[in-house]
Amino acid sequence: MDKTVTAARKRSPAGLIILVLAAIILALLPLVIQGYWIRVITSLFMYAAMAEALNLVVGYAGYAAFGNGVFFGIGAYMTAILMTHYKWGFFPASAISGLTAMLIAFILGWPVLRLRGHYFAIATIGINMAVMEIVTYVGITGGGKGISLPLYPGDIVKQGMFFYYSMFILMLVSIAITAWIVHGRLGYGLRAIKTQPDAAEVMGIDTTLYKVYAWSISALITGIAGSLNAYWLTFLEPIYVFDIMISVEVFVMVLLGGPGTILGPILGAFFLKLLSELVWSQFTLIHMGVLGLIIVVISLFLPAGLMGLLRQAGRWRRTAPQSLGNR
Amino acid sequence: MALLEVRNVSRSFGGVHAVNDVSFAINEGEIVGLIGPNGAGKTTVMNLISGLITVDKGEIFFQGQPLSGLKPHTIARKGIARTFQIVKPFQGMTVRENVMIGALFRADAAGLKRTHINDIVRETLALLELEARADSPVEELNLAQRKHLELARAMAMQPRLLLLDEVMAGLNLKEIEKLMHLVRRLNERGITILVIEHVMKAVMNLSHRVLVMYYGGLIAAGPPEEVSQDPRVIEAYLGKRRQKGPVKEVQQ
Repeated sequence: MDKTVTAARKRSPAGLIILVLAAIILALLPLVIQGYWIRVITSLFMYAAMAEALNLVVGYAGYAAFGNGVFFGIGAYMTAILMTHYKWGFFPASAISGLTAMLIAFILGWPVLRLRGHYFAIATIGINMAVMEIVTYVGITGGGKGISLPLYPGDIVKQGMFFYYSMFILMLVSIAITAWIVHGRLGYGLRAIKTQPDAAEVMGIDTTLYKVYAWSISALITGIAGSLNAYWLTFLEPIYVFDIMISVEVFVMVLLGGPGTILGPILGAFFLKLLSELVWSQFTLIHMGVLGLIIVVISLFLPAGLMGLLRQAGRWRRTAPQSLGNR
Repeated sequence: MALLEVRNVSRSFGGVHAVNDVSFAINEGEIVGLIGPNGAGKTTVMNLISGLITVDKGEIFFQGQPLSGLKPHTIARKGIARTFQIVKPFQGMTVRENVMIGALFRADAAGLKRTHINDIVRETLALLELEARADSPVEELNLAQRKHLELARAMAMQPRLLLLDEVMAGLNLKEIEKLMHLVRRLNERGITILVIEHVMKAVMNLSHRVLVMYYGGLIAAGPPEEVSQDPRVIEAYLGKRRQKGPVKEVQQ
């Protein structure tokens, strides 16, 4: 990567080594854990990938896509329909599901991404609700009764491994796509659009097209996550896959980890999911209350998320001894 | 053929005729000043040229081609860059990254190697005397530096026409002088410049020609010395009653 691109320079070799080590540990983890924890971490990977996907729109372009979960639902249902009604294999069905979500984002993006701020957020929630209603009342989806997918061939251990590694790869791919975008024209363009859309436009950036690109790529990853999730759970219901809480939780992960950073959303997803596994499973009733509390705390004290906190800590460590020496 | 031609252009906001039947042309290599009292429609003219707002009536031509119906980013890629009266740095980015955007999105950027783009950025930072702050977050710049950054971003686009909207407002005398020197240097590099300015000393000194707007209309155009003597211009700036007063004062 280029030396003068500061974003690239900020990533120290130590950070990269930690990243690779973390990936290796996660890849080897199924050797030591099993059953329940395999499932927990599989869903953690899924949420991390969705948070990374949402980050492109929320963190980089600065658009609060609150109803991004709609692409999760679209991906899930597309896979279910293709596999049950048309007897497709999982992989082609999954690819088509991701592309469908992407195409829908691309088409809806042109009108919807003209809205700014709260209006865009509300519009995406509206889309989520509208699609849920359509899926509930259309025959091919099984409607409100839900739809069952074929089971994964093979025993339960093999099945666990398949979804663990599929979600793991999806997460890695989402990180790679983000890193690639951030260092290219699209990334620069999105960051410009985020704070000064007019200045970005008069500097030659096709702002509408760039926002539509970001949302489409986000939808593609989210759609594939939905597709994998559908095959994993083997049963879908509109109220489950179009649950607005999926969008909210992913949104909180992005904010918690650090919007507009490559690894922030991943960190946020791990933090929130592990916290909920370790603590909230004891207190199921106040689950929502704690989520709400976290949102308030982030917006008050951590506007740049955990990544901002880490960066701040790094800066203190570097500058503190010097300033002491100067005195 | 003029580089830019504005032909009978009008634009209203509700019942207000912000720009009313304005025509002028700018030739290659010129520095043209656009002056007038507050609310005269100067910035609206600039917004119309850069495409941020659309023309109601009339037509704008750049290098002989009409600009109507084009999006601002398309107009930018044809070679028109601009700065904003209220500076609009891209926050959360460094000075270098801000300038990088100009280089990354210019018309020929797709064919450029990253090393070449980095060279353009480095040269532009040097030209606008921002090298020392290259890796600072834009939030750390003072106003004068932010104005330089506006210019640097526009210059990295390698424009043929540069629209400067009050780049000197809010600066002290020394900073104004430095900026005047820079604007002249950009012009010497072959860039045609249209400059809106309230600092009379600067605009009269810099401009080869001056256009005067008043209540949305163009009331005078010509060399600075001529325009500053024009009774209509004096009236626009000082009002009718003062016209009988000492003209000397006005000339300054």
